[in-house]
Amino acid sequence: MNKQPSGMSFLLYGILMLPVSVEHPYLDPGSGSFILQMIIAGLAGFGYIMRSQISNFFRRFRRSKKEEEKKDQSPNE
Amino acid sequence: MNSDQRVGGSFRDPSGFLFTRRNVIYRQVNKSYRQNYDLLQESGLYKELTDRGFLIPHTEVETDAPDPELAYKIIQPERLEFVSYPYEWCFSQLKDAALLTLDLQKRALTRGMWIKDASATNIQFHKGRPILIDSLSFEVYPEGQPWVAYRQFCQHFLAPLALMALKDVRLSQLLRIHIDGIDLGLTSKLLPRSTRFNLGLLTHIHLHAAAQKRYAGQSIHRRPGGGGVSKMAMLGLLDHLERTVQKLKWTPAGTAWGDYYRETNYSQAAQKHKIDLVRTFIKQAEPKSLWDLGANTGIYSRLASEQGIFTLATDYDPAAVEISYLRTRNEREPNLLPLVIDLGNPSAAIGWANQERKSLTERGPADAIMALALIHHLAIGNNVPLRRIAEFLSLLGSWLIIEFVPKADSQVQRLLVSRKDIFDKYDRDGFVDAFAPHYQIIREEPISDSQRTLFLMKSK
Repeated sequence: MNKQPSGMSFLLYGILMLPVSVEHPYLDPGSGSFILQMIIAGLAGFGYIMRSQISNFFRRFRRSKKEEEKKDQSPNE
Repeated sequence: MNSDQRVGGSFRDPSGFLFTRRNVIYRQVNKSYRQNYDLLQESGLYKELTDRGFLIPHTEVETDAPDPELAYKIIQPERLEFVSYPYEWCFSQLKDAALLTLDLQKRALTRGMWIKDASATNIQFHKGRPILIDSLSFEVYPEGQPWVAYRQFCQHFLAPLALMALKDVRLSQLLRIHIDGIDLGLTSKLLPRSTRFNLGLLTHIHLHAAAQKRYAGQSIHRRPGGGGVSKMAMLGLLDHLERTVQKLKWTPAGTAWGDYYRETNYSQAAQKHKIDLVRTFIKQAEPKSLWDLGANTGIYSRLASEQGIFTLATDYDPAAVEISYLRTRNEREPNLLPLVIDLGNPSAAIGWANQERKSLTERGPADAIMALALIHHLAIGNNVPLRRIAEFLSLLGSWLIIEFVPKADSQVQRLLVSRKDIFDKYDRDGFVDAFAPHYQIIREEPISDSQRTLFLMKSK
């Protein structure tokens, strides 16, 4: 659930378009809805990955800063 | 089995159906759903969702299937106290149901499944929280496929939420007419033009409506250069939908009863005495379920729900219900369900063969009905004769806690200020005479420091 995409390699995968076929006889998804969804999902997927990358970067940055602070403190203890 | 009754709203999905047998509700899981049902269990998704209270728990039972040729298993879901419908929910109830649906989809994707439908009626309020009640909603995730329920999600959740938040909260009532969610073309026409500058609403409502119109009746198989939606793109779509829903907000204000308790003519002493009397009457009736009609923000409803009694707190004002629901959610009150219901026009039986959604009366009776400061709105505000009110209330429950508000009361005077008083028999004796054919009066107590009287009645 909380697993974040780990590299830019996901970017290509994220917006990759795959062949589509409708295998759900129960709900009619609507042709227009399907086509729009493919476009929006591609763009939203791109945005999602970019946001994840940025937040990962800041998380790593904060973590390394904390580790540095710990190292600075430890010789005095 | 002749005693089996299929549940009226459970017939569209070929994966199975609900039925009742000797007043117990069961679900037949069909063989066609076998692979999905097994994966739901084996993937750990069922355990995760039931542990978190997101999916109704069930037990597999050994009993005869109503349709044995199709049956794979029979399951018995945990029983709901009350089934409510999206047109009876306040803004935050619908929003919480929408967010749960998206969360379920994201959790399912991590375990190789997805939800194949996004009907708002698949969500119910159980023990104070939204919960998915359709155990057959999950399917093996066909990676690369667009979400088959995307349109349904937009029609059932996003469209009504946007209309409620940005146009008028009462537009939730469109869900009564549009049983499969509000048409996106209609939503696009009704929403303010400024919503075209909101990226979420521009894409999921306005462009979505235009795409539906543009590609109506066309096969997507024939689309040149055909495409799909990868899992990462799907997560992006869900994230975008979630942020669009999260941004929609509605603050209760400007409706008739939002500040009723500040404007009422009750003194503190009268209110305290009324609370004491209501508490005593509830104790005497010992109901397991109670419907508080015209509950406003649910002050008196909580006298019952806090005793462990399942309590419906209905009011026609969406602001009052919103306030009540937010308190229920924030204080984790498991026994109270606030709903928007107009008693002048209570929810009717609708849908296919008038059986998909039940009327309010069909979902009763409760053990007790409470109607405080309500009688004058029905009798004078709505011109409903007292005898008719008594007859209707007697259908809903056997015990009745009812407050009689006389003409001298300032709240009744307000109702009469702009109309002719044609209510000759609207007094204490007329009230008692009207209720006598249906009820026996158990207790009659004047509320101190007021002109009102509280009655405890039992149906004959």
